[in-house]
Amino acid sequence: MTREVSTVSPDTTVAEAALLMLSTRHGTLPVVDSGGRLLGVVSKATLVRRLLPEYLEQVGDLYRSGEFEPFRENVETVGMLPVKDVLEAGLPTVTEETPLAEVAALMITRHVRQVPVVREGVLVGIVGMMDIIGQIAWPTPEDNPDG
Amino acid sequence: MIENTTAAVAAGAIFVIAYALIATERLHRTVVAVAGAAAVLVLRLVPQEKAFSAQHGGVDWNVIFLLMGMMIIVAITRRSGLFQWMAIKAAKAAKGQPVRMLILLSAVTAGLSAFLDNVTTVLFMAPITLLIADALGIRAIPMLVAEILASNIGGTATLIGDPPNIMIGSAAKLGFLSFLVHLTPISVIVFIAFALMLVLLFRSHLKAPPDAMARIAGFDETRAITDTALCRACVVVLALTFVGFFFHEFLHLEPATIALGGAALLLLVSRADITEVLHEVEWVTLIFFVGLFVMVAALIDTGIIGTIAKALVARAQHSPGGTAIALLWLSAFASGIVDNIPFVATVNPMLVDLARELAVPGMEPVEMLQTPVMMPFWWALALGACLGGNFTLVGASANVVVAGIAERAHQPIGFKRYLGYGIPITLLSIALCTVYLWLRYLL
Repeated sequence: MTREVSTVSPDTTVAEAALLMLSTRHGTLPVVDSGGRLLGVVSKATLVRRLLPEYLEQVGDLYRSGEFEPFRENVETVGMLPVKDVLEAGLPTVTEETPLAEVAALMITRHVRQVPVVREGVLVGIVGMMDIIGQIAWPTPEDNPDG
Repeated sequence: MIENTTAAVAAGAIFVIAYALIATERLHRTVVAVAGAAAVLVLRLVPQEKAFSAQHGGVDWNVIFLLMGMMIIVAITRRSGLFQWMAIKAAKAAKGQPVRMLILLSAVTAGLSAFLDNVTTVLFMAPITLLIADALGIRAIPMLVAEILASNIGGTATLIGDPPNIMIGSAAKLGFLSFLVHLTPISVIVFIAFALMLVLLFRSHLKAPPDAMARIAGFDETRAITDTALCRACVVVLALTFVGFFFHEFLHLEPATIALGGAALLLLVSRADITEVLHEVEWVTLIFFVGLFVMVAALIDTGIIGTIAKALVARAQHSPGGTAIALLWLSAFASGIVDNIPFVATVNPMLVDLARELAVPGMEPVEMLQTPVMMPFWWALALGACLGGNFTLVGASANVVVAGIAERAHQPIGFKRYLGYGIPITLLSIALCTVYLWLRYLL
């Protein structure tokens, strides 16, 4: 788990969140209020999905057929929205005591790459798929360069 | 007619409560139907063997299996992309011109609804329409509203177009060709009138820049086809099924048998996963029908239907034409407010009783159902029940489905706004049907 988490406030603009994603290379940003309580997350996938229409899944490959005004428009306008308008709430969270196997299972069954770690609703860190990959690389704690 | 008043009151009360619950949507309609069916069976208002038998006015398995067969065929065909291909072809034929597009997309919707379930038709038409509207840079609402109206008009045209027709065909022993001869002409007339009204209503709202219209030409409809081999198999089986429907009376096969045959053939040639296909069959709707039929069986068995039919006989003998026209308008208004399926399920046995009462002694049962006096009644019920669905945004399932898709796409149609189109177009179509019934059957 990573304790140094880049977070955004609900009133941050999507453009600022996007810049933060680019500079930190973090694909998932937890959204927290002034008291550090987790409100939801904003992820790369959330933002990209936001640029596309709701009916995308129903029309499948036909969507590739043309250049669409709405896409360009969305690219221009989505950045001005506050993060609270696009955040995904209700995604799974874990605590520091949650066993790693359970965290891994959550990632696969709920299709999330990062899971916020909370203590009584307050964000304390984030655990990602790379943390689990690290366990494969260094099965025993002594081998882990991060400790 | 009514032998046991307590039983009749109980059966009537259960039915009225169920009807009210379905109309107010306090509970899911299928839950209501299953509960109502269980209630009449537990209270012994109708013996189970009668309730489960079509011959005794119980569950009409012809309706259930016809719907199930078509649902299986559509579930498999939908995956091939054939229907989407048709929609894009139509849009391209309109050369991107919005008004022409509105008419052509409505025509495709009506045409497909005549042979497929209306809900299925709008389920793939609506997303394609949103895509086309986006490409044109216009609002999708006029086209979505037009498709709702077109799906109910198209569904009126054939035996298999809309569940009320399937139920009426089965009750009156009227075949696919009868519907084609009697209902297709008026459906075409109603569609033409509707298309003219569309042009009047929406002409000024629909303008697209030339470069946006050119974008429609850029659509590649072949991208819609996800599986060419499957698509070919679907086209062949669909064609065979329709040929089967055309000739079912000559083959002495019920429409349900044809639909099941088509479904079985497509399952065999497509090698589709049966579990996945059956997952897409709308069991919720089918069970709704079963529950409803059981409740109506109790109304028949306790003598309620017979008593109402007796009252109808006096009127029908006095003024057959006036009664048939009254049935047309009553069916239309009733279907605008409540689901048309329970309405038709209740009226069908009344008409069967009426036919019996009006019959000349010595007539064959089928002959009795299809006398010149009876025919306008069946067609009035079919036209009213199918077209009445256009009155409101909740008048038919297809309307509700499109409204949901539009809302998710942030282009809500709105109940009141819909009425502005639904009421005039439905009144016009029922007025046309009145003239048609009068000229063809009652003059």
